[in-house]
Amino acid sequence: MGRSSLLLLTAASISLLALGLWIQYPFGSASPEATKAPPTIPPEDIPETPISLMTTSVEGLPSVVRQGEAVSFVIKVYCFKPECDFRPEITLTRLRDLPPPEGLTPGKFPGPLEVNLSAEAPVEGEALELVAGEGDSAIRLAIRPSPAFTLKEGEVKVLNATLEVGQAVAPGRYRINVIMRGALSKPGTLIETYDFEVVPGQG
Amino acid sequence: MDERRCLAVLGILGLLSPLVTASIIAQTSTQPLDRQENPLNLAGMLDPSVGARGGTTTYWSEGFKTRVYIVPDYNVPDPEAHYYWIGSHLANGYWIQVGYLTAHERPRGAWFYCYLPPAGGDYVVRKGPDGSAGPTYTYMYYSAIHVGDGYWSFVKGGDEYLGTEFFDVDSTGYHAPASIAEKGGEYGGWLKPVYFNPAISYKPRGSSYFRQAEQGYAYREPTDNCNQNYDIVRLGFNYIQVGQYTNPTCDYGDGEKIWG
Repeated sequence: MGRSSLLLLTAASISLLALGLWIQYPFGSASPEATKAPPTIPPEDIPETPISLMTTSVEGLPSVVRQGEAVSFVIKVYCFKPECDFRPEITLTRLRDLPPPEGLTPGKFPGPLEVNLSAEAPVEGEALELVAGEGDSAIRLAIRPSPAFTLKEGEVKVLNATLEVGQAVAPGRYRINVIMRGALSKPGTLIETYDFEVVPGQG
Repeated sequence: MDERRCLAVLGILGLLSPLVTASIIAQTSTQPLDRQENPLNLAGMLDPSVGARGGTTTYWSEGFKTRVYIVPDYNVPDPEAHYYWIGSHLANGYWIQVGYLTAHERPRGAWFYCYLPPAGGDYVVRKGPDGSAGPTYTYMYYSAIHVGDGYWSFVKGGDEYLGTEFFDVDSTGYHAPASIAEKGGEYGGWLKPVYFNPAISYKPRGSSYFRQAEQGYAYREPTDNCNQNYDIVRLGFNYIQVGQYTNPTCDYGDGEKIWG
């Protein structure tokens, strides 16, 4: 091999090496070693998020319900501890439309998102019945059997629910809250929320 | 003689450089995105978490948000839950967080927010129904923002309010928000790696706009959780992927700077 060929091969190889280095560390960026810096922020204890040891899921609740319509759905209750005492508080709320948070006037509270609907005391027995409003303006939620029972670990209980929306219920977004105390792996309250929207009825 | 020796050295260099180049290119092309998941049985361990915390510029913010990738996970053993969220302490000691969770039978992708009063109060966890986290394999914003008079709102996307709570304080004080992937409970599940991009944005005091965190620092709990395959992969400025990996590189120990 001649001297010029060797020089040419060397030059080509070094160019290839430079190309490789450029792919790894493009101009203007530093190597990972160079970007590492000693910690400068004090450590902080971040609490562990508790898990749910008793929980619900809802199947069949439509996202949209028409005025004057009644819908049926099921609520499944799961238990992941030796014994679950399932006696939730169930509430109905109406959701207000608020401007996007970035569009809010800084520091000026726009008011609560949820407005509690004045529900009559739930009727318990074989079924739980929750009624918010009166006459045609009422929203009625019935759950059978009544959600007040004990479950063993691994057990799943299926409840049948019916939601009736009166013909004069104001269109908008509504929320069912299932509030369970003692359902978390740490002391506290678990609130599971199921939203639906009421739209004008046909005709 | 000298000239020949010089040429010989150059020749060796020339022969070696393609190998070095090939190795560099191979290394570049096998960055952590290619790592495969491989569940391990880790039952009995503490609940681990991994992610990034903002720097001191994010102190005293009046809101924070993250943009996180929504991944479904159908292999989470009950009652384990996997959480992906952003959270911070507030100036008065409240702890607040917002994001999404995946679990087995129950919500396979549901938004949630959580708060813990200072001085050992009780937790409140609120969560939405199955599928409410957002469309799978897309990004979703989650934010917590002070909306006035000590009230904070938890928001999904740009304007879907999840809830508003009273914490009686308007900023995070000397606390930095953190974007975290966390395994709730340890029953042998595998914490799927997810992207956070941008991982941490914050709303400086008095500002109407969010700003990207100028610095990010690794967060690991427990601090040696790389041994349990938890890792933080830097994909760019304020852009990370975190979770459990088959072959973690452990590039960032707890508290080490990731970007900025």
